[in-house]
Amino acid sequence: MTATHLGEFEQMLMLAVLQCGDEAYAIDVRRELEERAGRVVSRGALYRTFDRLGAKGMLDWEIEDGSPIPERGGHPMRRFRVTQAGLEALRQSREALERLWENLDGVVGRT
Amino acid sequence: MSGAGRRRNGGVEPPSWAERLLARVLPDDATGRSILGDLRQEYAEQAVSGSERLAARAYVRRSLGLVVRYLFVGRRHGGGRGSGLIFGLGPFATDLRIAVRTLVRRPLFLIVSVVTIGIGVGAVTAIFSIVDGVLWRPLPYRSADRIVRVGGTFPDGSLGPVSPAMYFDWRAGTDSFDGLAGVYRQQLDLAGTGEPERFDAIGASAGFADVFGVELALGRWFSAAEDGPGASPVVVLDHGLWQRRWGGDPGVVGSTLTLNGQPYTVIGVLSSKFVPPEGLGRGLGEAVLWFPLARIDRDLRDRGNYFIRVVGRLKEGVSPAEARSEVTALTTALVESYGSDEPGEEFGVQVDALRDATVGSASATLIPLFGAVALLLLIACVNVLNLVIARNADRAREFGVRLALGAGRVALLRLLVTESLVLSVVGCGIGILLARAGVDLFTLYSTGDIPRTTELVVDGRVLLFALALSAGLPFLLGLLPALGLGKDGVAGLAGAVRGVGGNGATARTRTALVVIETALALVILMGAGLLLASFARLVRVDPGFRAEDVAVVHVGATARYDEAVSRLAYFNEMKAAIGSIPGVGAVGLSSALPFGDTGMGGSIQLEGWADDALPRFERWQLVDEDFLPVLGVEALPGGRLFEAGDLVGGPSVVVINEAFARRYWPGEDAVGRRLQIISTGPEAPWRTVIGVVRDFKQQRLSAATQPEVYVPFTQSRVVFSEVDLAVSSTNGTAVLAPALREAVWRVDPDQPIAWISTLEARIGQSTRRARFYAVLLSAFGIVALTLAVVGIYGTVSWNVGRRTSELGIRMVLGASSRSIVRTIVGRTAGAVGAGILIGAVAARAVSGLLDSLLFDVGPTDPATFAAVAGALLGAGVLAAWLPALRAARIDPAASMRSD
Repeated sequence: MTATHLGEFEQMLMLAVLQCGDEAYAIDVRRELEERAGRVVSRGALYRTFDRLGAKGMLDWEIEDGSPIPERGGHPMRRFRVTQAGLEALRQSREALERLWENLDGVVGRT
Repeated sequence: MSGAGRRRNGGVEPPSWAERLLARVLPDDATGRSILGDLRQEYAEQAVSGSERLAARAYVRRSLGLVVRYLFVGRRHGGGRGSGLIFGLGPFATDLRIAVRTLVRRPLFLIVSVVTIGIGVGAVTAIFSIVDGVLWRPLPYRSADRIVRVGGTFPDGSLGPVSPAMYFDWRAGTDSFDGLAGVYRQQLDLAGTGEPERFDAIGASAGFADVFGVELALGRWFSAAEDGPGASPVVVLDHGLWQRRWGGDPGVVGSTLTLNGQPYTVIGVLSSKFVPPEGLGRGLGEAVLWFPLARIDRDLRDRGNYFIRVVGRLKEGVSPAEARSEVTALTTALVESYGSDEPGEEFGVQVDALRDATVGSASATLIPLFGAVALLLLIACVNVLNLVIARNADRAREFGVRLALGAGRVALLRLLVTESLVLSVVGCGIGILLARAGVDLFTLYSTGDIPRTTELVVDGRVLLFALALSAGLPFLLGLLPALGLGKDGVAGLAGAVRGVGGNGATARTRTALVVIETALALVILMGAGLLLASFARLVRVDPGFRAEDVAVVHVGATARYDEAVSRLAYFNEMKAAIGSIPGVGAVGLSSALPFGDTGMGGSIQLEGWADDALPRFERWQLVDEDFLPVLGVEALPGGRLFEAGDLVGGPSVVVINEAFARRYWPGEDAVGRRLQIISTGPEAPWRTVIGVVRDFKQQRLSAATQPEVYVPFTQSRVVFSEVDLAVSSTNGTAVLAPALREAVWRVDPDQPIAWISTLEARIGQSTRRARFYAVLLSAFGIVALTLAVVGIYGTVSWNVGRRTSELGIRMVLGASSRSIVRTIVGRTAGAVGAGILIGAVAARAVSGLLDSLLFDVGPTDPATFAAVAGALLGAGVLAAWLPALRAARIDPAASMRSD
């Protein structure tokens, strides 16, 4: 394994961040994961994976103070972004997977 | 306090204890705070769109998940963030790591131990949260200890309602209360907007809001002026109903609803925190609409009928007894001035705390349950203790090595306690999950006779209880075995590193534990057996009427028919429509059904009594000529039932039941006697008894039949707005419901139907409580039995393993396989038998606790005891049999080589 190896959930999380575009706040990312991938995600797994990806340099975030949402009780929001290293790791994962998938449609089939 | 959200500054706040806990665990920086914010935002979204209570639960679940994650699973992935608490605890962390590693190496021991602890802790915690929520917490009202019920004494000694006139007299003439409110339960039919629907409603006097400190989410409560004659009708909605039917639309306040055919203006919505007082009377806890007492469909000047429930807030420093003597003095003075219509001396006044009335007999059912689960937890502990002792004995070599390598005794003890701590924490975690599921199941299936179940919640207080339990367990499971094993404590653990684990003392300890376990299991099983026996007898009771193939429909009159005559004509039309359904036999009309929701009483005067004799309070109901025949009830010889000819204008007649005849004309012929039902209004006619019917059960199979009078509908000036139709059918009742509905709606498409059921189903409902407790306690009994069997099996197999070489020698010396099996099984049976004897003594000592739940079975029923003891002995012998067979198949030569 190289240092850029990504676990399945890590990949899904980063893809969900990308899908959210400029609005990648934790709640939206989780919703995206649940809706697109049908994954029910525990908050523990979610935030720990954010931390981990941050430590690996795949993800970074911006702290937005003074959120306009009153229900947050004045707490800041984090907006996530996939870093260049993250994009590169995703690309490598995808290529590796695609190479492995080559010519297997007849065997595995598609849904 | 409930765990649901609290309001602060008008906003909705998640449970603060969970948020504080989470804030401590999350990193103290912007990242941590952003997570707190995310959870708050999700909580608020869920609370607004759904229920605050569910949102609060989800919040607690999420934050606890995060707490666990950040505390224990954090650092492994090298995140750099997170506090990683346990890594700051030095030697404890080392112990913890060793303990976890050691435990994981023996997965079977680990799983059996934590599941056993989990079951015990879960059951106790679940019942604790129920007992705590129902019995111990104050009612959810401002200074709730001052809220009292005030009422008259019923024939059975209970506190009953009073006449509206009396309530107004009390309100005007007493000084003990800060407020006194009258309430009356009535159903209101909503028509005109959307589906017609029938609601449980309460007519309450304006002062009700002050007595209970009612808070509103929107609008306001009604004023004293609105609770007076001539005011325009207003109504207040329950929060849940507002959410369900109006989707929480604030625009509903100010709108008009058509209730019972009249326009009511909605003036307010109750706060979601307001819980209707269940202790006030049957069905009052389910009310969803509140309207002024002045608007109920009864005459508020009435002195002869008792239907107003009175509740008051005592003035500071006034005791219920003082209030009672004031109200009694006032009532006595009033009775003298009103004359004989008013019940006098025998009308005792009662004042009791609303809390006692709400909780009522619940402690009689909950305390035995609590006792049963406490025993269950003890069995679980004994079982795990047993496992730990066996395991320690098998680890003698390991302990010896550790001591030899320089580990101190204290260090060794610490390791043992740490291992038990891990077992306890994991077990308690499982227990808390089980407890939550258990409380939810209890709320779903409990039968309505346990009050306050809607307030139940597994919150901080309950978790604290579970934590306190788990704090004690490590010492029990870690220290006790270590101390008990050898004369000099820990050293004894490593005493003889002979390669053969354990010694005679260990075996004796384990046998003693089997005895204790059996005794505890017997107590639980005895309770379960008694409840099952009661239930079996209860369902065999003959209700005394024909319940098979009788469908019942409960309907209310639309507001169009105010007069008794037109109401009756309308009900008769409905009766004819139902009678024309193919397969329907006779249709009977009644104001109350056996095993129905309603029933009423009134003042009855008997002819031939002394002039100054006071009227008696007894049950009476209206029936038509077909009702009793549909139930298969016949007149006893010498009398008759009603006939179509018993009409207005003819002689006034009644039919009574045997219980009535026995009470008032014992040993005499009741037919031809006359009585007067004062409650039917002024100048009530004297009615002649034309027949006596066999007693049949009225509300419960377990209760004796009360005296009752049956009056023909055609001869009553009062026809109640709700009636029951009993329909006998020749082709079963299952398929009848749609046809019945269709027939009723053919007469009036706006007619609400409260429910359609069968008499058999109604009787079944009445035994739900007995069935519920029998099933619940049986479940505990089965768990107890299973734990006991696992404990016995474990002990015997361990013993057999330990004595392999000894048994081999015996076989070489000529012992047969049979005799070895016999010896092992015999010893186990001895231990189980001793446990049964001890358990029998204990069960006898606590048997009184179950008294109120039993029907027709004594708390020391010998048949039940024999069955339970037999089952335990059988299970014990079976549990010993398998390892004994294994012992008998030992190859003597091989066993001796192995030593």
